[in-house]
Amino acid sequence: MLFNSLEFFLFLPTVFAAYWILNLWTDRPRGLQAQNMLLLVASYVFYGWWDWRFLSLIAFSTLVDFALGLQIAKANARDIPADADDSVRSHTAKHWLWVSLAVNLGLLGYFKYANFFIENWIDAWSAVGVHMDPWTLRVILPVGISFYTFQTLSYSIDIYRRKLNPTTNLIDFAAFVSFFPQLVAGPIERASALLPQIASRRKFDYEEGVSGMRLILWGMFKKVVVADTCAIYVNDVFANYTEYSGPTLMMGAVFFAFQIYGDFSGYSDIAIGAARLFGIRLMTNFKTPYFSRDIAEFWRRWHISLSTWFRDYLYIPLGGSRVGKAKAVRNTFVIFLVSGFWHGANWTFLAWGLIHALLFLPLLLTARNRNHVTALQGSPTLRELGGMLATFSTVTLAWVFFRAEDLTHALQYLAGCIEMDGTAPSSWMLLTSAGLGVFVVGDWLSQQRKMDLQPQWMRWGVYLALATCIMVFWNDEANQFIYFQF
Amino acid sequence: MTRFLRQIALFGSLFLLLHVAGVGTIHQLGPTLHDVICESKAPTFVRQDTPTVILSGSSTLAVNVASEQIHDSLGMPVLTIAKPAHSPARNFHALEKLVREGDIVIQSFDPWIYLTTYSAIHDERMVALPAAYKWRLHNHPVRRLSPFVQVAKHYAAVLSIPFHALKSNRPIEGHRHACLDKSYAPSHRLLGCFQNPTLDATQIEHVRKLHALCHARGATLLLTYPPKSARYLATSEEADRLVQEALHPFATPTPMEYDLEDMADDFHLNCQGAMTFTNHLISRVRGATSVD
Repeated sequence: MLFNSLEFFLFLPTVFAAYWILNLWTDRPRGLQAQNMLLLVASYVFYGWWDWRFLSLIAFSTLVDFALGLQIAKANARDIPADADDSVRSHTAKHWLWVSLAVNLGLLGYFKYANFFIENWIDAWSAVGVHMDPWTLRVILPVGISFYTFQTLSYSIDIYRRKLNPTTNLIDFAAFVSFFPQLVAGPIERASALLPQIASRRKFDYEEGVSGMRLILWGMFKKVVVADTCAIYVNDVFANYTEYSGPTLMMGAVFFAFQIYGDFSGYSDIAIGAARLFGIRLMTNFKTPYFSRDIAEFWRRWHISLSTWFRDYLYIPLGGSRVGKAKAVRNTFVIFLVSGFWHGANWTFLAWGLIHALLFLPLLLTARNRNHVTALQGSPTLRELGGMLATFSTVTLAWVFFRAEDLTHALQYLAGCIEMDGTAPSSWMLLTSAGLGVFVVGDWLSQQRKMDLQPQWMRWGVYLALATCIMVFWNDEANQFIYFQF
Repeated sequence: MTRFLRQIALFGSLFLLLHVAGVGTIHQLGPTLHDVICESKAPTFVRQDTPTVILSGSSTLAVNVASEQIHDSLGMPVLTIAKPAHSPARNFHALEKLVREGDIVIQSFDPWIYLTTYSAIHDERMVALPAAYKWRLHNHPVRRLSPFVQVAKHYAAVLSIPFHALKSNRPIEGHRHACLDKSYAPSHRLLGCFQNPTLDATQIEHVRKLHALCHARGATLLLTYPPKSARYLATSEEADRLVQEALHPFATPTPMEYDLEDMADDFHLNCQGAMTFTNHLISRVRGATSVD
């Protein structure tokens, strides 16, 4: 089910009403259980709307990690003394963890990467003169598999590291894995943050509810008005790049930067907002990333739940940046390449990751990667403004690889950016750019926390204007969110 | 919770009120394009397994042809990829995926598309139309809200014509209603491009490629001239001659002159004209393929 679909607008209030009615009985035995069961059923309906057959995959992943979590904790309790140091590990627990990694990454590898490896295997042999019959598996990529796989993996790893106690309640765990607002495109929640919320009684909070609705409205605006409008031009320009002039191609790339931002951060906002309606807080996933002053800051503000996941479960275990220059460089490449590959089985995503690694490297080597840990408040200096423009430009350049069909397409597109022949940007494109300018101003004001609209009539005027824009730009044949494919 | 629900209800009511007020404004303004458009929605967009008549080209084909009439006369399914302000290059890519043995491809032949003096860059419809389809400007109530009503009504009406043409198998009754405004900007631009015309080799090349494609796949290609009023025919005489010479090896479509009473504007037919034009097309198909 898509957030920007009519079904969801019927589904959400129905589940909301049933959920809070059940809340009246949560102080009784099994009351909370019934509420969590409702969340679970609603989440499975939400996911099954796309393809019910793949529910078995989520159920399988849930059962495996639930059982393995208990086994890992049991081994830890048996092998490790209570007063032992945090770094002490149980060998048996480690074996169970490997099983969890093998199952989760095995599923991901099969459904997402099998064809990529087969095709490249055949290509590699044909490059040395050995020709094999091309064959691929007929596999559908299950929506959201990369997200819920990472979520369940974090559960097993945290138990192994003794940072989390496993739950003994299967319903709670299944509701955690499949919690519908963030099931298909994140934010990738940690069990330590989400499970305790699911396991305890929720209380409706007016402020939380209102902020949830605000986030849903703003997220919907970003998706329907910003992302889907940019998509019209982006699809056309990327498909017919040979017909367009350099300025049009550059604008196409910039539009894609806004499309993917509006699309993904819009989804995250709706997910966070919907979760708040159910009394559950999800982590922030985007913090106005296009105002970053360098690439390191960009990665602290873009897809935060994924970048912190990689930081905690890959980068730091590899030694992070405190293991000498050579290893730190290696770790940087590993994390960015894996991050690129996580997005899809295509060389373009690896190239995208590689570009980000190369952009990050100078900052790491000169120890300037932590220069901008907090967002800029107040007016930027000329230097900071230059930094923002440079970061946005390089990020946009990398997005070309992310959007392109293959590497040749990306390189030809970039080469076309310096050509003047071809169709110039149309006046509609320029008009849309002006609209994006307004959006950027709004984003800047939200970063500066100057969006607290007072008095109430002004606030409601903005809400009505946003809702009206959403209705005008609404498309019955709702566009999918880009990150569903990952 | 009660306060929260009250706020949501209030917001919903306000929003509905605005919406209804907007729609009310329109009704005071008289019939809109939406009210006068024929409602015929037969599925013409799905490729069937049997030999098919494929309509490819611009609005002059999308609007001017009654595809049900073709279907009834020839007994063949009709599929249309014709769209306004088309580009032969893009249509060719679409046809590459569609054309099969026994098909009849009718390609509209709008001379201005093949001229360098016609600049697609300045034809906003090239970009505006996909947006218009997507945003469904034809029936968005909000587009009619004042104070934008006059501007929005004009543009939405103009932009939504092809949308309905594509969706409909029949010529559009309301076409005259929306298009008779002679300030319709693209028409002026078209007039300009006919002065000192020169050929666009790339576009001509796509016709050659389309001819080769149809030949290779065992399909029949028919180039058809868009119906035009006498005065526009006179304006584009030189351009017509140039393009006809260039396309001579593949086909020699002949310009058809129409009376203004059969036309909605200088390029598009009304229902009556469309029936005549469709009959003419059917005769050509029969002549080319001996289909009885």
